[in-house]
Amino acid sequence: MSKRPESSRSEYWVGIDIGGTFTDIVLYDAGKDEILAYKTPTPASTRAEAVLTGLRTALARHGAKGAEVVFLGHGTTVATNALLTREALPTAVLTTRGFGDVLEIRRQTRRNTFDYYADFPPPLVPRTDVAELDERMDAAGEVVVPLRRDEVAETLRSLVARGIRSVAVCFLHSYANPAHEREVGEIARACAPELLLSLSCDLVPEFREYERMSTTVINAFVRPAVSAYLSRLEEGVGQLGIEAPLVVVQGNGGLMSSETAKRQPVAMIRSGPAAGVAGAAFVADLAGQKRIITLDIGGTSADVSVFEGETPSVVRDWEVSTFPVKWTALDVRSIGAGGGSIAWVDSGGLLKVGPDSAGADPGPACYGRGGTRATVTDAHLVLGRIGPDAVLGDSLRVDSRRGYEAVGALAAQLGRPDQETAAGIIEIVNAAIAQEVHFICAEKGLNIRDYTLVAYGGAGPLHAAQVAEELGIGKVLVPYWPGLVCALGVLATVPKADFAMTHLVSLSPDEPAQADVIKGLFGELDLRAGNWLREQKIPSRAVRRSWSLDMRYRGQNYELAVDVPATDVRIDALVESFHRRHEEAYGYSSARGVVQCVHARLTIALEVDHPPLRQRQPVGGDLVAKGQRDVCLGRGHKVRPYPVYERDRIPGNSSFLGPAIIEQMDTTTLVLPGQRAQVDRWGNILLEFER
Amino acid sequence: MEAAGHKPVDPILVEVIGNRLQTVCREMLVSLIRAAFSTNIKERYDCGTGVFDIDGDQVALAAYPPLHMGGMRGIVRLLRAEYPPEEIRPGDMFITNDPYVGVSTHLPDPVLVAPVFFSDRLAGFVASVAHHADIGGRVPGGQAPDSRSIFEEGFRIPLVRLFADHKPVPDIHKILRTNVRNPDEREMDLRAQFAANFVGIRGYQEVCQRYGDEVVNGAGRAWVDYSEARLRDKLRQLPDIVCSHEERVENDLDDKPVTFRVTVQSKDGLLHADFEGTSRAFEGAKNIPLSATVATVWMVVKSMLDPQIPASEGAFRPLRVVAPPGTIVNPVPPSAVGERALSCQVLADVVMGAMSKLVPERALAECGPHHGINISGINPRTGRFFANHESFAGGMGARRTKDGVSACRVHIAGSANLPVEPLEAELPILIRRYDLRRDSGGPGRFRGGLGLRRDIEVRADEVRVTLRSERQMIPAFGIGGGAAGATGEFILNPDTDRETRLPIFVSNRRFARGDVISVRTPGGGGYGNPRERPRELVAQDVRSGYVSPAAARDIYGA
Repeated sequence: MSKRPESSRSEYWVGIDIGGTFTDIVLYDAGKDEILAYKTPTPASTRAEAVLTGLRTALARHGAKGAEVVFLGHGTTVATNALLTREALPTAVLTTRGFGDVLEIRRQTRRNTFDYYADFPPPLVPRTDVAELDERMDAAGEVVVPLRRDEVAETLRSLVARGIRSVAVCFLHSYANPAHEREVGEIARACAPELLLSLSCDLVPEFREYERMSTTVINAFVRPAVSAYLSRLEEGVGQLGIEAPLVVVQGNGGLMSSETAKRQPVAMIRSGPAAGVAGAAFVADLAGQKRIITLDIGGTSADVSVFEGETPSVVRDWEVSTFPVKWTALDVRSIGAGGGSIAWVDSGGLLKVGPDSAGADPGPACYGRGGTRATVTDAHLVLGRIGPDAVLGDSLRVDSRRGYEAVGALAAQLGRPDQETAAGIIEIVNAAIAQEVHFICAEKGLNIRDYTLVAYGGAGPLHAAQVAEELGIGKVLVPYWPGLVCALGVLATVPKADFAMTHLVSLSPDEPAQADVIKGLFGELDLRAGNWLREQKIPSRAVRRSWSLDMRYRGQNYELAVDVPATDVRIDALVESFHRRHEEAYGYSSARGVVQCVHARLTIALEVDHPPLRQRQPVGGDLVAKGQRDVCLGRGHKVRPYPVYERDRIPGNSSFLGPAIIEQMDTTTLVLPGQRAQVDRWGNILLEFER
Repeated sequence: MEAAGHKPVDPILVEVIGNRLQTVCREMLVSLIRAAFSTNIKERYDCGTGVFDIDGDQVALAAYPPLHMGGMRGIVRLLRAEYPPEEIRPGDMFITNDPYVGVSTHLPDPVLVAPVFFSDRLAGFVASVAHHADIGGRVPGGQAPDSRSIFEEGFRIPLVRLFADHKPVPDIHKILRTNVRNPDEREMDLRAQFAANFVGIRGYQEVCQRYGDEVVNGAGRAWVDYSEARLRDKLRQLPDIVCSHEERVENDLDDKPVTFRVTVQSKDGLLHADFEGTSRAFEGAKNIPLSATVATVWMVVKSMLDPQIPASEGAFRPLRVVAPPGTIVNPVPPSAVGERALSCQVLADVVMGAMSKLVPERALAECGPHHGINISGINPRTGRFFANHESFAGGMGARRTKDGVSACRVHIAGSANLPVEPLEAELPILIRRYDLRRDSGGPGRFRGGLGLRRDIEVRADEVRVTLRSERQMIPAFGIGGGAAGATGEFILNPDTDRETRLPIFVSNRRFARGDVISVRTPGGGGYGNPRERPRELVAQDVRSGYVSPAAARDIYGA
């Protein structure tokens, strides 16, 4: 990959992001130094053919040849969809005898403590496809019951006979001694090579059997579908003459080769929101904003994430459709409030918004496609924030009358004027989003006022200014292309991976030799990282490694991460850092407490060349409003005329004072009275109150 | 001390502020879990937080086990009754763990309450409750079925000021520290409760800053009224009939079962629950303080009629609970109450049994309650003392439209299990199996959830074990023709020639290396005639190992 694009020949960087409503394809043309975007509706089921058609069209439209593509990155929902629709080839589980019901027992809890009829979905693999095998390790990794090779072979053959394609293997304490799981892998290669095996010791060598098994099962469950999808895509990409390797976005916001993705597809879950965060971080960096909160509002939900300092927060244990996953991912939280969320009056007479959504079809009432219930989008229309002549998504025009009718019906039910009802809907949505952000900051102990809110997605820029005001956040950044942030994220991020292993040991400053144990753990992690690196196809300049240990006081059942300098592991320093970290996180430390190491972790990130991804050259000329519109800011506010600007006619490096409405193809931005809009030379808008 | 008043508030603002106060409550809970030390709080989330308006009504609750609502809701009224307004100052926090003053539901659950001031006047209150690992008394942890008075169960704290001007009151702390087994850990858990209240105070003040304290209190009151209105609305839709349900309960200390009895009637938007006919209090520790009895009725009614009603004082107002003093459901001092969680499970079944006749479309058969185990001793690997407390779920009863959930905490309890691998890494035990018990789910058109089996092998020279149970003699019954679930059992050295059944309750008994203790929890009752269960579901149960071929043939007729 070249450092600087040469103008003599064309080079294209291509990012493809499949979102819930649209598939975005972004091409960076290095020769012309410009970004080209192509948007197409996402079909109901993720198919490689649809993506290939989109890619072919996008390349053709810009006269790009396959051979000129130097980078091809892809964010896809194929893994998540396989999980949500539960459409997968038959999958089986092999586990330790006596533990066949772990998936059913979960953690003994109920889905909702106040609802006897609300159940978790049944396990991905039914009990009839779980086989128990004679074998047992103890916590020290000693064999208690040996594995019987004949039983393994017989079981594997019977699975094949029953049409099983993918198998999750999860034995007790395999994180401490993987020998039995690996032996199953060897036997399978010999006697049932057609089976795809997912070993828990390869994926998550960490203790807590249910979470490890659940993660391994999810991997096994989605693997055949993901492998088939990626293979077909690679084949089709080859037919387009593209030689650049296909790389895939992960839930940690980084990239991996498609080879890695086929082996550990669990890494792809949550990759959509993660790509958005990566894109937002890129744009924010360009605009000089480091500490950010991302806000992505689409049709059905609002996704938020809060950076810890200048890096995105990560989460190590999370859930996908109630199934636990032990895998490092970006911490993005979802609130059931988007443009299509339906407003209603409950049995106690209060106005509620969501979680039901009109989605993209029929969509809000003002789409005129059969929706009759008032949605957030209809409320914006009644308040004048969305224009009566607006074009929505795929060249659909607003049907004002139906939008007003829907809000009017709700207002009659509530016994309030139409405009107040519409303003109430927005107030409730904004409050719900603000409260979630407030909660995340409280949970992580972060000071919200230091942050910049980065708003994107179809509806993010409509809500951002008021959400920020509610939270006391001073600055809002609206990227030039709020609808393309996820696809840009695909181009802006780097290959990244996280490795961990459990090793429980009490650390004592009196035993400095324990440092060798820790170094040994790091050595093993580095070996695994080496294997991962060999699978990656992107040339890199360097590999960044960060090491950490998860530690706790003996008697605790939860851990805190402490960064460790790999070259200088000293036990007394580690113990000291842990006391300090505990003090920081929880407000106290226990000098007399025995400190334990629980997990060792390694994160690697590759340094690669990025395209410059500058979105836009500055535009000269004066700022001219295309018209004005009556807008209501909220309850207690008078309707007043706001100037309306077209986004791509706003000159770069300019600034103007709110109030204003800024319109562009797929988004509308609301600028509050008293807010100054600074437009930088890339076209990004920074909203800030005049002091 | 001046206090804020109320301002009438419109329904949109009620929705916004009501949710905001709920968020304050969640922020308190997450701070409590973050800062706590005890596994009970940290890993099993056995704690709760509340926000109250100036009248003392609980506006918001955040808790995993619903029982904690009963532990907190009376705290502000108690505070205002015992301390004149001028003695409640900013920076004060008050504590009590005494179930006999109407808050807390047993001694290990101290409640810490703090006033919230805004522009120099009282604007509301916040409180937190957490299950501490020890509170002094005869046995570690304070919970033993054979405690015969509350004085054996631990240190009883009347409502006293624990913090003044944001600082610990040293005299009280000294008394507390002296009376518990691990004072440093208790200090850390109390500090976590302090931190949670502190977060709550700040959060509540922020809301006042935004809307004004009178508006916040007006919205809080409207939110509580709204919860009440929603429940009354549901109650009015119920038929005006009188339904009773009665159930025997095991008695740990002798062989004579005792009786729970409840009569419910929904009339004019009120729910009457009369426990007349319930036996006199136990000699042991399974008595249920009135606060827990009321919370159990509330939990069942809310779950059946409208799970989405906010967990506020409003949903208690339509409840008229009559519990004769001196009975199991309203014991008087010095009756012991430490094990109320086990008997509460049966109490909830009884209330549910009566309510299922009123609301058949949301019916639930009786449920298998959890069993508890405490193991302590010296760990041969470290030479140190260890103590571990766990509870294992039974099976949920079957429902009108579906099977009961297997191995699942029901009713007022909600704590998670502890994973096997970290346990074995820390303790000298080996879990031989942890799976569902075949044929333990009560047969029916819809099958009761299965109980589970956990076989624990001792890998130390000597350990002490306490075992606690419910429904080892009297099963969880089915409804509508459904059969009962299997009873629970404690078995020593299963599947060997030394196999013996242990009593339903074992107190601090010694076990040796190699002994295997098998805990088998009860299954839930079935719903409807088992012979009407579709063949393919019976076949699926047999293939899954949940039902034996013999039972499929003989009971289900398959």
